[in-house]
Amino acid sequence: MTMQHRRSAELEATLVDLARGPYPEYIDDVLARTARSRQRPAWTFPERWLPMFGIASEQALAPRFPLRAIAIALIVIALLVATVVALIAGAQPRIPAPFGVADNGLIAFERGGDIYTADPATGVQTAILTGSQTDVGPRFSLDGTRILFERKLDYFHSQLYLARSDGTGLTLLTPEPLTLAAGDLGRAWEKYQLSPDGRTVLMATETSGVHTITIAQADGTGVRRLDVGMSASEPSFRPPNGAEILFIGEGDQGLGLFAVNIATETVRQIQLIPNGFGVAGPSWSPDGSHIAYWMWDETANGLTARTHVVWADGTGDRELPSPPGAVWNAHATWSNDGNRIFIARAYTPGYDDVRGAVVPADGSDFGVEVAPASVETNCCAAWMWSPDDTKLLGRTSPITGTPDKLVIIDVATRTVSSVPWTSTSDPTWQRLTP
Amino acid sequence: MDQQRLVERARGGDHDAFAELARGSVVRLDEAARLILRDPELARDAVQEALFRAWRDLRKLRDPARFEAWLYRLTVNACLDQARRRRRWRIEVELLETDTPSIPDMSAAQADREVVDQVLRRLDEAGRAIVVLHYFLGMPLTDVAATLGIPIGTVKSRLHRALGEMRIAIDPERTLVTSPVSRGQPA
Repeated sequence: MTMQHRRSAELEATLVDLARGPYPEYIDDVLARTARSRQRPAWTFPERWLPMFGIASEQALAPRFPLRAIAIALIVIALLVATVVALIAGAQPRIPAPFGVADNGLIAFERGGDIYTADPATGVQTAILTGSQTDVGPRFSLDGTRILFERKLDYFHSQLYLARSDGTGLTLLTPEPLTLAAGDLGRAWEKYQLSPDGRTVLMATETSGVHTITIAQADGTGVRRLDVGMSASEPSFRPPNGAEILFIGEGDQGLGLFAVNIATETVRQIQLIPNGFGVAGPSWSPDGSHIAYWMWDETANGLTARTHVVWADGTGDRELPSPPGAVWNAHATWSNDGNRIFIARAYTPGYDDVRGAVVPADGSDFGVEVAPASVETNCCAAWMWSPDDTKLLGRTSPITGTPDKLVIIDVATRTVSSVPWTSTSDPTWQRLTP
Repeated sequence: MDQQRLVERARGGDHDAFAELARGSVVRLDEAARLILRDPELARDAVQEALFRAWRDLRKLRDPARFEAWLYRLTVNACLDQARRRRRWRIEVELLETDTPSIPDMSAAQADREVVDQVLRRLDEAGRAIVVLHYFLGMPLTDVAATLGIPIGTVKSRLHRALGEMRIAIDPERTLVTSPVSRGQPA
């Protein structure tokens, strides 16, 4: 036996010794849980529940008044209202539109179960949510005034909270703990988002092992599960009004992209994915006219993902063009102006040479590679555009390293700079009025 | 019944078959997870998550013969997820080189155990995963690379580095780690 083999054998024996522990009794709990869960969804939601909203309307009979007096009174009231509105509007900060280019505000991120905001210009950070709880995955509302986050209760269960952007005014949205379900990348924005009007929160949830869509009122008054009749993952509100929710569905028709009308719960099929292919990351263009997603051949050896863009009605599906030598691309993220898409582009069937690229959303050319492979935009990296579209904020994900480094890429100059804070979940960038 | 048949049955929705597979694997998975995470509570969470995902996603497994390797991969990924979510309730024991005591009263094996434990703690979870997959679970390096989704060169270099630390620590003639040092200088 060589010295090396002897040492390997000693190391193995030492590891066996170190690993020894009591029998994992929790296997019974796991099996009880899996026994309740289905491998394939057969969809029924008998426990579906709806919030009770008391809606009372009364009609009053209007007595007859002299028309001239009414007209004068209305004019006076209108002038008063206009004056008050002008005063209030002047006194309050203006908020940006939910979509389109905005000014850059603070970056919020999580570290060690606390949530911080930081000014990217000065580097100054402020803890806004601290304490013994484990708070993760902050997401700014689209108007930048509030922040949504997940409070983890245990490995499987969480509660969602909404706070003002400075961490005050906490509202519990989900009194009953939920199991949130991230998509393939595990990014925070795959799990929950505020509606464009900020009145509801969309959540990707897991119920008895099946992916579901749950909606909570942003004032904490109710939660309901949306019945779409199939497994539904990676849901997102359709801009600009959030009347529809896009999701990856898997039902009798197979795997595909679907949208459900929130008011009527009517589901429409956007795109079916061929058998043997997987799909992930569907996202709306900021104007709600297009959807980007990526799909891959599940039977192939190595990674084969390609990003597609399709009209919202499912027509005109096209694959984004790839330069010679490129093997796969994925992680599509729309710019706020809707003209460009950030993708991770790889030149091997693995993660050996993955670069960040900004490509025109219309697929007119290969775009520009803005991040070299050394930035490590590997599996599970999280990228987002700055509100003003000049930068990309990323939490890189080297599989072998510590996945908490934040970087900012200047899109025009392609310079990559590290941010002086670390984050253990995905960051979020506040939108301010331009 | 052989494992492959059990996997095929479990893939068809037979939960009893899955339970048999899970019970047959859980001790090994728990041990591997504890080695990677160095925390029994986090390891329990990781194994629970891995087994849950295994049941839910079993139909994605194309080759039943690869079940064990696939389960290891799920467990390692769950461990790395846990590591990413490390929170303050997990007390990370930071062992400084200068704090390593000499352990003259211990047997050689016990001393090696202590040293390996300390070196393992100094590695990050991904580094530990490589050591555990290769030396504890007996995976060839090519499988380790495939399991972690990283190039084999990376596996080799990280393993080399980890082993180097351990060998330096264990080798009595090279006591850089176990010797007391003063202000960064070897005594």
